[in-house]
Amino acid sequence: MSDPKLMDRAELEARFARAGLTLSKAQLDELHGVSGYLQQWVDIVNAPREMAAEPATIFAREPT
Amino acid sequence: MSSEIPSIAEASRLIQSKALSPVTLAEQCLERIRTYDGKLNAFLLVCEKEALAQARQAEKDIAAGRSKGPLHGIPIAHKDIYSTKGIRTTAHSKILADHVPKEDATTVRKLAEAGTVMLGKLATHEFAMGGPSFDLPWPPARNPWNYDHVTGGSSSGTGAAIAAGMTLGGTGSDTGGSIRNPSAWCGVSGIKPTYGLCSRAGVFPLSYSLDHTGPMAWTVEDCALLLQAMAGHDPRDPASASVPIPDYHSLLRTDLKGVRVGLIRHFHEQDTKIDPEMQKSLDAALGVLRDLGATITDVRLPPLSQFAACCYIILLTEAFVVHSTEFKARFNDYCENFRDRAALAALLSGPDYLQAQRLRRQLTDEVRAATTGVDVLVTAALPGPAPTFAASNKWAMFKQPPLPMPCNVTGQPVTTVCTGFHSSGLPLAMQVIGHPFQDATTLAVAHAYQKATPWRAKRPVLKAT
Repeated sequence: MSDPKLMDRAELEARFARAGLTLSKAQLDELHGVSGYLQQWVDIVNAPREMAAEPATIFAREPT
Repeated sequence: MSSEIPSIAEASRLIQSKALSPVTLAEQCLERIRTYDGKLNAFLLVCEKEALAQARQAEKDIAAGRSKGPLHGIPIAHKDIYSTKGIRTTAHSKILADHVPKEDATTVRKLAEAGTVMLGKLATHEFAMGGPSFDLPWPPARNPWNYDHVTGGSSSGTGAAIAAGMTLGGTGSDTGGSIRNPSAWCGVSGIKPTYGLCSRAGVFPLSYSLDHTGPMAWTVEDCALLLQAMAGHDPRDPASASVPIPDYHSLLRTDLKGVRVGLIRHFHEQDTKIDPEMQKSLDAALGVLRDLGATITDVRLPPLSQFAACCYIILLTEAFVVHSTEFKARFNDYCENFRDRAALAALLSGPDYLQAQRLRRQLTDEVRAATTGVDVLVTAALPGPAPTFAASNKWAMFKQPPLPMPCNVTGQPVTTVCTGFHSSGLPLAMQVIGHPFQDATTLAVAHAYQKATPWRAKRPVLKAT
């Protein structure tokens, strides 16, 4: 993977606070430092696909 | 057993013919645990009294003609996320340090009903993701081939204990590679069965839709025997599949005439970097498969990075949900590896999770379409041999897309088998991947390879405590 682009720091802190996590500055610094990996994954899963493409909420034995 | 550690199949034949006492076998395992586990840390709890009582009962039943089958009297141990009734089950975590379940996990019960002898509970990465870690109540398991190296996880204790001959088999779980990683790095065999084949009921969840339970053992044949007892529909597990269970052992074979093998070459040649010795080992393994009668063609699947993105977003989100209440109250009681990795899910959104589940269906469909012309797929198990603890890094898993993850996304069965040894002396391995519910085929191909190669003749040299 290429060098990941980090998330906006203020948004990152807001999201952790909304999740109810109280993190130290050191923890926030470290998690901010790796937030780019998440951004890469988010970009991949959000690639355009047909509206009818359904999620795999269950495993099907055979194609339906 | 001090010099010759039998496989489950060998021990079973001896027990059934009354040439080996289950009590003697259990005592030998317990002696090896006492001698070696002080340095290996594979066991979190040894149940000596219970194991010997079970072994004595097995001996009595077999002598009276009441054999329960090939696992009767065979010593095994369970990863410590499997609930064991009345026996402490911690998930290797301070959070559950005093937890004593009231019920067995379904697979624990089924293995007990098959007559196995339960030696104890095995180390894991905390809640099957936080490891290897030194900030937990118990130290991490060490690799029996070189104690400075990690075992791979999260079924770390199972891999170490089997390689060291302290148990003949055990249970693992696999959400992103956790049966296959320690199987590969500890040089043992393991199968991540098809999603839904083995019950998850009573096994502490990491990620509801990605978790698989399955067996690990020294040989593929032993995995087939253990899988036979573990597989089958369980109404306690909402994802459990109601499918016929074949006789896995009888479907093992020693030639591969007519078997079509698809090599996912781009996984290890383009999508991730692997050690040159792993590449050489894989090439040699393909030569063995070819010599056994298989035909090998290249198969192209979606890039590994797509599977990794899909798997990580689902895994982290579901893990966060499992632990959300405890995270708010006891975040710093988790080990750093677990809490920091899982906390990242707070940065994801609901739509991100659902998009990952949509990608999951797309990837599953694409894999199915690309593999109609083959019976099994083959790729490297891991990029190279086990790293040292010193080189192990909390975020290393995010830097390169992991080779095991595609089959957690698709639910396909995978057998991991040793393909030889790195110049450092550490084991290398490949994955043999099947179509959904064709678990018997992956076992058959891996078994044929294993019987044709000399790697089972070598055990790690252990240091006494």
